[in-house]
Amino acid sequence: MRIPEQRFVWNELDLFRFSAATGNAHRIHYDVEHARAEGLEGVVVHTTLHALMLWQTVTAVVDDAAITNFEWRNHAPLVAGREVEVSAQVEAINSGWKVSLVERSLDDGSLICSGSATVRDGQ
Amino acid sequence: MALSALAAAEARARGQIGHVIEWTVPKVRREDLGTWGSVTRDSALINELADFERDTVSAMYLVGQLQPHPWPTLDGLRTDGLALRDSPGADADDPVAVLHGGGRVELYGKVRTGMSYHARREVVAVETKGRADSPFLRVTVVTQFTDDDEELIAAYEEYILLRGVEA
Repeated sequence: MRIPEQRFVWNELDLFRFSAATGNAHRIHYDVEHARAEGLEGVVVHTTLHALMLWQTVTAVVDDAAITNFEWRNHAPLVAGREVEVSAQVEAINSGWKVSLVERSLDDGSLICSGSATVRDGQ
Repeated sequence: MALSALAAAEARARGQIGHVIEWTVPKVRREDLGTWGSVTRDSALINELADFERDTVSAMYLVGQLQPHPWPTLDGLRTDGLALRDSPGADADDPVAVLHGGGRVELYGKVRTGMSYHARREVVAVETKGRADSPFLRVTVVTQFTDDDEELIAAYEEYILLRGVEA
Protein backbone atom coordinates (compact mmCIF):
# COMPACT_ATOMS: atom_id res chain seq x y z
CA MET A 1 0.00 0.00 0.00
CA ARG A 2 1.29 3.46 -0.85
CA ILE A 3 0.03 6.65 0.75
CA PRO A 4 0.90 9.80 -1.24
CA GLU A 5 2.07 13.01 0.37
CA GLN A 6 -0.55 15.66 1.13
CA ARG A 7 -0.03 19.41 1.45
CA PHE A 8 -2.01 21.71 3.70
CA VAL A 9 -2.11 25.39 4.54
CA TRP A 10 -4.49 27.05 7.02
CA ASN A 11 -5.11 30.79 7.01
CA GLU A 12 -6.32 32.91 9.92
CA LEU A 13 -9.94 32.63 8.84
CA ASP A 14 -9.71 28.82 8.70
CA LEU A 15 -8.36 28.78 12.25
CA PHE A 16 -11.06 31.18 13.46
CA ARG A 17 -13.77 28.94 12.00
CA PHE A 18 -12.21 25.81 13.49
CA SER A 19 -12.09 27.48 16.90
CA ALA A 20 -15.77 28.35 16.55
CA ALA A 21 -16.74 24.83 15.45
CA THR A 22 -14.95 23.25 18.40
CA GLY A 23 -15.79 25.83 21.07
CA ASN A 24 -12.10 26.57 21.56
CA ALA A 25 -11.55 30.12 22.85
CA HIS A 26 -7.77 29.84 23.25
CA ARG A 27 -6.45 33.15 21.98
CA ILE A 28 -3.31 31.75 20.36
CA HIS A 29 -5.54 30.49 17.54
CA TYR A 30 -7.33 33.76 16.63
CA ASP A 31 -5.75 36.74 18.46
CA VAL A 32 -2.51 37.71 16.68
CA GLU A 33 -1.45 40.20 19.35
CA HIS A 34 -1.92 37.66 22.13
CA ALA A 35 -0.10 34.96 20.17
CA ARG A 36 2.89 37.26 19.70
CA ALA A 37 2.83 38.17 23.39
CA GLU A 38 3.20 34.45 24.10
CA GLY A 39 6.30 34.31 21.91
CA LEU A 40 4.64 32.97 18.77
CA GLU A 41 5.08 34.49 15.30
CA GLY A 42 1.33 34.61 14.75
CA VAL A 43 -1.82 32.64 15.39
CA VAL A 44 -1.12 28.91 15.32
CA VAL A 45 -2.80 25.78 14.06
CA HIS A 46 -4.77 23.72 16.60
CA THR A 47 -3.44 20.39 17.82
CA THR A 48 -6.57 18.69 16.52
CA LEU A 49 -5.95 20.10 13.03
CA HIS A 50 -2.44 18.67 13.11
CA ALA A 51 -3.99 15.34 14.01
CA LEU A 52 -6.53 15.70 11.21
CA MET A 53 -3.85 16.53 8.63
CA LEU A 54 -2.10 13.28 9.47
CA TRP A 55 -5.43 11.46 9.64
CA GLN A 56 -6.63 12.77 6.27
CA THR A 57 -3.34 11.79 4.64
CA VAL A 58 -4.11 8.21 5.62
CA THR A 59 -7.85 8.31 4.85
CA ALA A 60 -7.15 9.62 1.36
CA VAL A 61 -6.28 5.96 0.68
CA VAL A 62 -7.76 4.00 3.58
CA ASP A 63 -11.35 3.79 4.84
CA ASP A 64 -11.35 5.50 8.24
CA ALA A 65 -13.24 2.52 9.70
CA ALA A 66 -10.10 0.44 9.22
CA ILE A 67 -7.98 2.66 11.47
CA THR A 68 -7.84 1.14 14.96
CA ASN A 69 -5.25 3.32 16.63
CA PHE A 70 -3.90 6.78 15.91
CA GLU A 71 -1.44 8.98 17.71
CA TRP A 72 0.42 12.21 17.15
CA ARG A 73 2.97 14.41 18.83
CA ASN A 74 3.43 18.15 18.33
CA HIS A 75 7.05 19.26 17.90
CA ALA A 76 6.74 22.92 16.90
CA PRO A 77 3.96 25.46 16.41
CA LEU A 78 2.66 26.06 12.90
CA VAL A 79 1.74 29.65 12.12
CA ALA A 80 -1.24 30.44 9.92
CA GLY A 81 -0.36 30.76 6.25
CA ARG A 82 2.65 28.43 6.33
CA GLU A 83 2.35 25.40 4.06
CA VAL A 84 3.24 21.92 5.28
CA GLU A 85 3.56 18.51 3.70
CA VAL A 86 2.57 15.28 5.38
CA SER A 87 4.40 12.15 4.21
CA ALA A 88 3.79 8.55 5.15
CA GLN A 89 5.78 5.33 5.39
CA VAL A 90 3.86 2.06 5.42
CA GLU A 91 5.06 -1.09 7.12
CA ALA A 92 3.26 -4.42 7.02
CA ILE A 93 2.53 -5.85 10.47
CA ASN A 94 0.47 -8.74 11.79
CA SER A 95 -3.18 -8.14 10.81
CA GLY A 96 -2.54 -4.99 8.80
CA TRP A 97 -0.22 -2.00 8.46
CA LYS A 98 1.58 0.53 10.58
CA VAL A 99 1.69 3.96 8.93
CA SER A 100 4.30 6.40 10.23
CA LEU A 101 3.52 10.04 9.46
CA VAL A 102 5.60 13.20 9.43
CA GLU A 103 4.46 16.78 8.92
CA ARG A 104 7.17 19.19 7.77
CA SER A 105 7.22 22.86 6.93
CA LEU A 106 7.69 23.55 3.23
CA ASP A 107 9.50 26.78 4.15
CA ASP A 108 12.48 25.15 5.81
CA GLY A 109 11.78 21.42 6.19
CA SER A 110 11.46 21.69 9.97
CA LEU A 111 9.50 19.01 11.81
CA ILE A 112 6.10 20.23 12.97
CA CYS A 113 4.27 17.06 13.94
CA SER A 114 4.70 13.31 13.76
CA GLY A 115 2.44 10.38 14.36
CA SER A 116 1.28 6.95 13.36
CA ALA A 117 -1.83 5.03 12.46
CA THR A 118 -2.55 1.32 12.72
CA VAL A 119 -4.66 0.07 9.84
CA ARG A 120 -6.57 -3.19 10.07
CA ASP A 121 -6.14 -5.70 7.24
CA GLY A 122 -8.77 -5.74 4.57
CA GLN A 123 -7.72 -2.59 2.69
CA MET B 1 8.67 33.87 39.27
CA ALA B 2 8.21 31.36 36.45
CA LEU B 3 9.41 28.41 38.55
CA SER B 4 7.22 29.29 41.50
CA ALA B 5 4.20 29.67 39.22
CA LEU B 6 4.93 26.25 37.76
CA ALA B 7 5.31 24.73 41.23
CA ALA B 8 1.92 26.11 42.20
CA ALA B 9 0.41 24.74 38.96
CA GLU B 10 1.94 21.34 39.67
CA ALA B 11 0.37 21.23 43.12
CA ARG B 12 -3.04 22.14 41.68
CA ALA B 13 -2.69 19.66 38.82
CA ARG B 14 -1.75 16.81 41.17
CA GLY B 15 -4.79 17.70 43.25
CA GLN B 16 -6.92 17.08 40.17
CA ILE B 17 -5.72 13.53 39.53
CA GLY B 18 -8.79 11.36 39.56
CA HIS B 19 -11.07 14.35 39.05
CA VAL B 20 -13.74 13.43 36.51
CA ILE B 21 -15.80 15.64 34.19
CA GLU B 22 -18.72 14.10 32.29
CA TRP B 23 -20.87 15.59 29.59
CA THR B 24 -23.09 14.66 26.68
CA VAL B 25 -21.89 15.43 23.17
CA PRO B 26 -25.12 16.75 21.60
CA LYS B 27 -26.93 14.71 19.02
CA VAL B 28 -24.88 14.73 15.84
CA ARG B 29 -26.80 16.45 13.06
CA ARG B 30 -26.06 16.43 9.35
CA GLU B 31 -25.49 20.18 9.45
CA ASP B 32 -22.87 19.66 12.19
CA LEU B 33 -21.05 17.20 9.98
CA GLY B 34 -21.33 19.62 7.09
CA THR B 35 -19.74 22.34 9.20
CA TRP B 36 -17.09 19.90 10.41
CA GLY B 37 -16.33 18.80 6.87
CA SER B 38 -16.05 22.42 5.79
CA VAL B 39 -13.77 23.65 8.58
CA THR B 40 -11.53 20.57 8.35
CA ARG B 41 -11.66 20.48 4.53
CA ASP B 42 -12.71 16.84 4.61
CA SER B 43 -13.89 16.75 1.01
CA ALA B 44 -14.91 13.10 1.23
CA LEU B 45 -17.26 13.87 4.11
CA ILE B 46 -18.70 16.93 2.39
CA ASN B 47 -19.33 15.05 -0.85
CA GLU B 48 -20.91 12.06 0.83
CA LEU B 49 -23.16 14.21 2.98
CA ALA B 50 -24.26 16.13 -0.07
CA ASP B 51 -25.38 12.83 -1.60
CA PHE B 52 -27.06 11.82 1.69
CA GLU B 53 -25.48 8.42 1.26
CA ARG B 54 -23.50 8.48 4.43
CA ASP B 55 -24.84 8.78 7.95
CA THR B 56 -21.60 8.34 9.86
CA VAL B 57 -18.36 10.14 10.42
CA SER B 58 -15.14 8.86 11.92
CA ALA B 59 -14.65 8.86 15.68
CA MET B 60 -12.07 11.63 15.18
CA TYR B 61 -15.14 13.93 15.08
CA LEU B 62 -15.58 13.24 18.81
CA VAL B 63 -11.93 14.13 19.43
CA GLY B 64 -12.74 17.55 17.98
CA GLN B 65 -15.76 17.97 20.25
CA LEU B 66 -13.90 18.05 23.54
CA GLN B 67 -15.35 21.24 24.90
CA PRO B 68 -17.83 20.02 27.50
CA HIS B 69 -21.34 21.31 27.03
CA PRO B 70 -22.51 23.82 27.94
CA TRP B 71 -19.47 25.84 26.80
CA PRO B 72 -18.00 27.98 29.58
CA THR B 73 -18.91 31.61 30.13
CA LEU B 74 -16.22 34.27 30.59
CA ASP B 75 -15.69 33.46 34.26
CA GLY B 76 -14.86 29.89 33.26
CA LEU B 77 -11.97 31.04 31.05
CA ARG B 78 -8.36 31.96 31.68
CA THR B 79 -7.19 35.34 30.39
CA ASP B 80 -5.64 33.50 27.42
CA GLY B 81 -9.07 32.15 26.48
CA LEU B 82 -8.51 28.58 27.58
CA ALA B 83 -11.30 27.01 29.59
CA LEU B 84 -10.17 26.51 33.17
CA ARG B 85 -11.47 22.96 33.09
CA ASP B 86 -9.24 22.27 30.07
CA SER B 87 -6.10 23.53 31.82
CA PRO B 88 -5.50 21.24 34.81
CA GLY B 89 -3.31 23.12 37.27
CA ALA B 90 -3.48 26.50 35.57
CA ASP B 91 -5.40 29.18 37.41
CA ALA B 92 -7.34 32.04 35.78
CA ASP B 93 -4.49 34.53 35.35
CA ASP B 94 -1.32 32.99 36.72
CA PRO B 95 1.84 33.25 34.56
CA VAL B 96 1.63 29.75 33.14
CA ALA B 97 1.48 29.03 29.41
CA VAL B 98 -0.58 26.04 28.35
CA LEU B 99 0.10 24.15 25.14
CA HIS B 100 -1.04 20.86 23.73
CA GLY B 101 1.60 18.17 23.28
CA GLY B 102 -0.36 15.70 21.20
CA GLY B 103 -2.43 12.64 21.85
CA ARG B 104 -3.32 9.05 21.19
CA VAL B 105 -6.71 7.72 20.09
CA GLU B 106 -8.00 4.18 20.28
CA LEU B 107 -10.93 3.77 17.89
CA TYR B 108 -13.68 1.21 18.31
CA GLY B 109 -16.68 2.42 16.32
CA LYS B 110 -18.28 5.06 14.13
CA VAL B 111 -20.13 8.20 15.11
CA ARG B 112 -23.65 8.18 13.72
CA THR B 113 -25.93 11.06 12.90
CA GLY B 114 -28.97 11.33 15.13
CA MET B 115 -27.14 9.94 18.13
CA SER B 116 -25.65 11.63 21.15
CA TYR B 117 -22.55 10.39 22.92
CA HIS B 118 -21.39 10.38 26.52
CA ALA B 119 -17.94 11.73 27.36
CA ARG B 120 -15.99 11.09 30.55
CA ARG B 121 -12.74 12.93 31.11
CA GLU B 122 -10.22 12.24 33.88
CA VAL B 123 -6.81 13.64 34.82
CA VAL B 124 -4.64 10.55 35.21
CA ALA B 125 -1.03 11.73 35.60
CA VAL B 126 1.19 14.75 36.20
CA GLU B 127 4.90 14.59 35.33
CA THR B 128 7.73 17.09 35.49
CA LYS B 129 9.73 17.19 32.25
CA GLY B 130 12.52 19.23 30.70
CA ARG B 131 15.79 20.53 32.13
CA ALA B 132 16.23 21.64 35.70
CA ASP B 133 16.51 25.28 34.62
CA SER B 134 13.51 25.10 32.26
CA PRO B 135 11.07 22.50 33.50
CA PHE B 136 7.53 22.01 32.30
CA LEU B 137 4.62 19.87 33.37
CA ARG B 138 3.01 17.18 31.26
CA VAL B 139 -0.54 16.47 32.39
CA THR B 140 -2.17 13.37 30.93
CA VAL B 141 -5.92 13.52 30.49
CA VAL B 142 -8.03 10.61 29.24
CA THR B 143 -11.47 11.04 27.67
CA GLN B 144 -13.70 8.08 26.84
CA PHE B 145 -16.69 8.33 24.51
CA THR B 146 -19.54 5.85 24.77
CA ASP B 147 -22.85 5.52 22.96
CA ASP B 148 -26.34 5.10 24.43
CA ASP B 149 -25.69 1.36 24.80
CA GLU B 150 -22.54 2.19 26.80
CA GLU B 151 -20.39 0.76 24.02
CA LEU B 152 -16.98 2.40 23.90
CA ILE B 153 -16.57 4.32 20.63
CA ALA B 154 -13.22 6.02 21.25
CA ALA B 155 -10.68 6.61 24.00
CA TYR B 156 -8.50 9.70 23.74
CA GLU B 157 -5.36 10.26 25.79
CA GLU B 158 -3.98 13.80 25.50
CA TYR B 159 -0.91 15.54 26.87
CA ILE B 160 -1.27 19.09 28.14
CA LEU B 161 1.96 20.98 28.69
CA LEU B 162 2.35 23.77 31.22
CA ARG B 163 5.38 26.01 31.58
CA GLY B 164 5.98 29.03 33.73
CA VAL B 165 6.45 32.38 32.01
CA GLU B 166 8.07 35.52 33.36
CA ALA B 167 5.34 38.00 34.30
